[in-house]
Amino acid sequence: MRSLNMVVCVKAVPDPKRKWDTLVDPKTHTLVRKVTDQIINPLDRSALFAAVDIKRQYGGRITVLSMGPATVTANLKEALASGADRAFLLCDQHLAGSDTLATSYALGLAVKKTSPDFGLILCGASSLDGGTAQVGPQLAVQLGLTCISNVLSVEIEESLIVARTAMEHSYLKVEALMPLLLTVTSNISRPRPPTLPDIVNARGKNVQLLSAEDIGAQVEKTGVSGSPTRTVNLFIPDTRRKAVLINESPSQAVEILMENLAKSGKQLT
Amino acid sequence: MEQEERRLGTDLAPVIAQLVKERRPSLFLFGATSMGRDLAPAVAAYCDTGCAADLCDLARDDAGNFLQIAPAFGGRMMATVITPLMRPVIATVRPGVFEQRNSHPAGGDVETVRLNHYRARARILKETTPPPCEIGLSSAKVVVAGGAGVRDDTGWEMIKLLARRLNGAVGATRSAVDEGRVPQEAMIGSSGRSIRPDLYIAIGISGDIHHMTGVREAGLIVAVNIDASAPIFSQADYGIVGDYHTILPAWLQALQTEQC
Repeated sequence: MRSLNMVVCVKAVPDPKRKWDTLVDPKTHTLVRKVTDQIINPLDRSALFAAVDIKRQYGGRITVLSMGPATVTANLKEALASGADRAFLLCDQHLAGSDTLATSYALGLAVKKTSPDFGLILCGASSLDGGTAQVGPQLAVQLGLTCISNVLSVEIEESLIVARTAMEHSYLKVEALMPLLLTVTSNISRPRPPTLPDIVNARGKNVQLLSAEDIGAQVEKTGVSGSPTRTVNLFIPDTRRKAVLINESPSQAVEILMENLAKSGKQLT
Repeated sequence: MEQEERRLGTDLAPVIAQLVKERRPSLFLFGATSMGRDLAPAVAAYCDTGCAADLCDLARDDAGNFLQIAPAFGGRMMATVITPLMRPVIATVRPGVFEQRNSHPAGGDVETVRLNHYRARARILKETTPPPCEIGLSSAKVVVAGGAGVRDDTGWEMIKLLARRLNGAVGATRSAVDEGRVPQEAMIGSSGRSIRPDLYIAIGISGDIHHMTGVREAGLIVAVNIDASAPIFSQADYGIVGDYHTILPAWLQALQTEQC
């Protein structure tokens, strides 16, 4: 088999251990990003380690690609220490505020620029913050590929990929020829923190910055201008209810509860 | 679509996009199924328009914008998205959030469309469907669910028994699913199912927003939790602060008495 060149797309997202409602700018409805609060989106990390596993078995090269502010460099350094060979960060004011369409447009150009001979693109199925699961399919469209989503495991034979994927009520076994795009679930690999030797080995590798101009992006297709959708509000849903507390002994409490449920008029039993 | 024509969303998208360009709809909605969540954004990409994912609500504002309301940050928050300029507005809609009507009040035609031939780049070799749960969670009128607070087998036995006695289904939070108490399909919440039973009984569930967002549309919510400060109590219609080890047997006993 020819050398397998893989591109892994990763996104830096706010650490879920932090309080997310305090990270949102109330005016722009976007995230206030701080480098200490950012992690690589967990499913993208799964994708990276899937690439590392594939490389171990079949050889090849792993290029990690991300889009975001300069602070994401730290996250990509971690990716290099985890086994990526090269890392590129699309970092440009013009790209800020992109929805999934504008993001996939820019990522597509960056893939063409940095890895024109790719065989496989791997992405996490969805991100912790946006959670749309749209960048994978849309990036596939940008690059004229088909996308196999929610991949649990893969087998590679020459240029044929056989993937096992999860649908909502079933599992599929799908095959397709490379080049191909896969979005992965957490089942695909077991991410692990980089070891000290990994970190030392990665010292010579740098994160390369790319601007919109570097990738030949048409400005009107990037950032806010290139985003057909816009978030106009971000709110915490109000799920409060009547909240009647029944403070009795267990059997009394149950009796009162059942009376109330019966009164509600719903046919419950 | 015929069984033998099963295709991946991204393979089908160019043909659907062609249809969109011919018919020029203003709004194109898809179910947020695995297929829908690939197909819709891919169609949007071919049509250079916007796509919003996994809507929990849809409305219109005075300016005529479609207000597409979807979960964000793992369901902790909701985002209102608009597609101001491009058409069609494309979105996937979360299963179970809207009420299913049994009768069709007014008009509308179902049209069969012949799709042009297209090249499918991926081939589906096999599909395996695990056996379905006894009573469908999405159609159950009563759901009894357990969370991290249900720490023993007895608790889960009683939950399943209560569900049976009430002709309901069993649900769970993510932690219970992670612990292997119930299958993945029983998971309710922003990363699981949204359901709208008439009665939702939450046992040992703290009331985390990821989970509660999955039962927003429930008719009545009853919570049983040993912790009086659990956030679920403000999100329930009725709450009993107590130990399920005493409450559930009392409830099962009362139902038994009722049936005699």
